[in-house]
Amino acid sequence: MNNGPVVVAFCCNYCSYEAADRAGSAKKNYPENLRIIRVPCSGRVEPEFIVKAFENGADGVMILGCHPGSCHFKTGNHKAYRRYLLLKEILRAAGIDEERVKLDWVGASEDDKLVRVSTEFVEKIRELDTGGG
Amino acid sequence: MSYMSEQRIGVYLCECGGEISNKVNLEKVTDAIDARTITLPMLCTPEGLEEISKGISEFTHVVFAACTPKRIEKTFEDVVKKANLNPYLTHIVNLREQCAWVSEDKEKATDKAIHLIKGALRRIAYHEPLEEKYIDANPDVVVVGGGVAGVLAALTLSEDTNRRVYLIEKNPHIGGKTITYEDLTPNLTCAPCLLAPPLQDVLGKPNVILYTNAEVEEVKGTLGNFLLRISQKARYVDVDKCIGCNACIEVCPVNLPNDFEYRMKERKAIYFPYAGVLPNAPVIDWQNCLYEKERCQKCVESCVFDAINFDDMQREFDLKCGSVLLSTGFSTYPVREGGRIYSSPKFERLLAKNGPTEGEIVLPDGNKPKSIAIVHCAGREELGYCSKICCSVAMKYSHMIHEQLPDCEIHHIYTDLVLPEMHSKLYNEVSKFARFHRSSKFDVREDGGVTVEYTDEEGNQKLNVDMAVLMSGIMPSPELKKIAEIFDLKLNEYGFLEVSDMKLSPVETTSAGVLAAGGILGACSVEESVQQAVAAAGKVLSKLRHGEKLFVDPKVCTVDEEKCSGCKFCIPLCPYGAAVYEEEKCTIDETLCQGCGVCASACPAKAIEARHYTTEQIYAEIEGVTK
Ligand SMILES: Cc1cc2nc3c(=O)[nH]c(=O)nc-3n(C[C@H](O)[C@H](O)[C@H](O)COP(=O)(O)OP(=O)(O)OC[C@H]3O[C@@H](n4cnc5c(N)ncnc54)[C@H](O)[C@@H]3O)c2cc1C
Repeated sequence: MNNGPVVVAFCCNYCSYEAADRAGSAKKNYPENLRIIRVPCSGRVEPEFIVKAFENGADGVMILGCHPGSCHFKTGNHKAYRRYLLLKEILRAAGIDEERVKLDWVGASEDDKLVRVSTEFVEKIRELDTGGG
Repeated sequence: MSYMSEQRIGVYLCECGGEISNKVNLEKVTDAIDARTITLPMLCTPEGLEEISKGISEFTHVVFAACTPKRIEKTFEDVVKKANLNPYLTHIVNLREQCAWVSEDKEKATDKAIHLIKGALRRIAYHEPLEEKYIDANPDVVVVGGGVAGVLAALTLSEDTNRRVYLIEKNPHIGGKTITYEDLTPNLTCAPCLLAPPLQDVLGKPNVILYTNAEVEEVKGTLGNFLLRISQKARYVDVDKCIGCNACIEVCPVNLPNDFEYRMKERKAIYFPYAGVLPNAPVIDWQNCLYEKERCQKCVESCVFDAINFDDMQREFDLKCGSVLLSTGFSTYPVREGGRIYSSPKFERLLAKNGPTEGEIVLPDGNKPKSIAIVHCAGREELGYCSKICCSVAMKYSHMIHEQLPDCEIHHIYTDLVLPEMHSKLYNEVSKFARFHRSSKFDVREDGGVTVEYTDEEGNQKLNVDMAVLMSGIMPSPELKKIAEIFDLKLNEYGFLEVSDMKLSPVETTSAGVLAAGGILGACSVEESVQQAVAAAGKVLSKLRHGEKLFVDPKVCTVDEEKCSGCKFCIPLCPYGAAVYEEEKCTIDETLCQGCGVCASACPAKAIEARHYTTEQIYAEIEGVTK
């Protein structure tokens, strides 16, 4: 069965994971391709996690943290952002299209945003896949 | 790993009364995964939990595929613990909120469910039992700032006589701003009459230890176990011996303007900031005292109680406590004052019976003013917000002026009137004699008298009066930055202390165990300060209970000493100061660590493990959800 691309989303416990729960409670659909992995903070995401996901056949990876200034752990999301810039370099070196990785901020109440960014991202990965990206 | 071969992993699948099973084909899930599965109609009902507890002892590790862990974590934890299984050997898959409820395609949802469960199965193979710890917590509390908020908090906390309350006050006396006022809005209650009893009370409490002239310099630790470094300036007067007889003050040859009285009155080098302050002992202004320069000892000679001590010295000491309550108050907008132009805090002293004029409203030349303009909103534009209490205070002034000088013309120049509830009563009364001019702009000048220019609906207006009072806006104390830095706290967009949640945790700061009340949080009246103070004290009392220990979450980060190269990379990254460098290695204080894992992700030697979110566990989950 081919259900299209596999997208791994690292969601921080306090904001984006909560937003995903709220999207569920509100029965707002988004592509089944999204596989959420719960992490305490977006700052816990190591660049190697993303590399690992691609090694295992993921087609795209998202890192979704709290908005700047509202990280439960004060500044974990800033660190995630700094690491994300570094990660892009690593991906380029490994020959992975950097467009296949996305970092975004999703607050706990932003279930709509979660649905929107994940839907758009899955669409984009689909395009990259069919367009030979 | 031999450990793995002994694993017996069980998977409990929840139908959730059809909420999951209608969207996810659970039979297909059962076939697709390589583990014992048990499907139940509803895991969280008493029947479901009963089933789980009957069967669970068969397993070494358990996956629950049900609703969001945020809702069900505690329930499963209880069942698991009752069955003597370590709760960290379980994992919850969010099949409802993050799978069944967000899909309309059963086939795709089933495939997703299988992958999510595979992720959990791979991950759980790397789970290790974690030990839950409970640590001793210090019940004592440090209250910083002895204004009305700090004093009322200290009094509430001191009701529990087995608890010590340390009150740290920067000034030589307690009572803060409120003790400098004569009357209080909205009911024009006499401020000293209202406040003297609680201030006396707090001084008399055997379990309240007051340090005046003192400030916090450094903080270590977190909820349950703080260590505070306090510095205390010398007072040169022994508060325990002094009875406040004033003999020393009478003989002191030095005369200086009293800053506490906005220089409207003089004081000596040994002085009381105001008459009747508590503790009732003067303080020596060492810079201006003649002891060092001229060996003047007049005060020493005059004191029959042997209370003056020139050997007193600045000292530093440590205090241990389990919680800290910050109540250092707000500041007021620095308006341009003049001989006839008063800021509102200065005007309070003109109204005060213990003030420089004994409460008489007089001009610098000693004459009584025939007209006074009360100009609202001074600094509002610059501050960018309404300070909410000043309109009511302006009504208080109008009332007090009218009572003392019934023929004095009173003008209010205002932008908006903010006078809710009880405060509008005061307005109703004042509006009978005072005149109100609405204007968004004003200019106040001293030119022999005072000229107030403003613009109302009819254009530019000019008002000549004898005196003007500018209602200074409320702003964060300039020192708040230092306090925020010491306690590692955030400030909000207006520069006041930020609370952890404005609605639900309005007196808790962004650091565990640090509470706040009163003007430090923003503009507030006395009653609001007291509400917050008592709420904050209540938070402390309910958190630090005698004989009970504090739970330490085992999901924290730890350093493998063998692997650590001592590069110190983790130290500045930790937002809680939990990572420290000791004996050429980095270590993490488990009581301070909050488990964010930022250090683990950054450690170049991979020496840090974020427990329960280890790299191995996350790698395994990635494999499971992707493959
Ligand atoms: C002009 C004016 C008139 C007012 N009139 C009224 C009124 O009529 N009715 C009413 O309800 N409210 C009135 N208010 C509001 C009232 O002043 C506040 O509600 C009240 O002062 C808040 O109390 P607090 O304890 O939080 O702060 P404060 O009264 O400011 O006390 C803070 C204390 O902390 C100490 N401190 C500061 N920094 C440190 C430090 N770093 N370390 C240790 N100690 C420190 C200070 O010395 C002080 O003793 C008025 C305010 C103003 C400006």
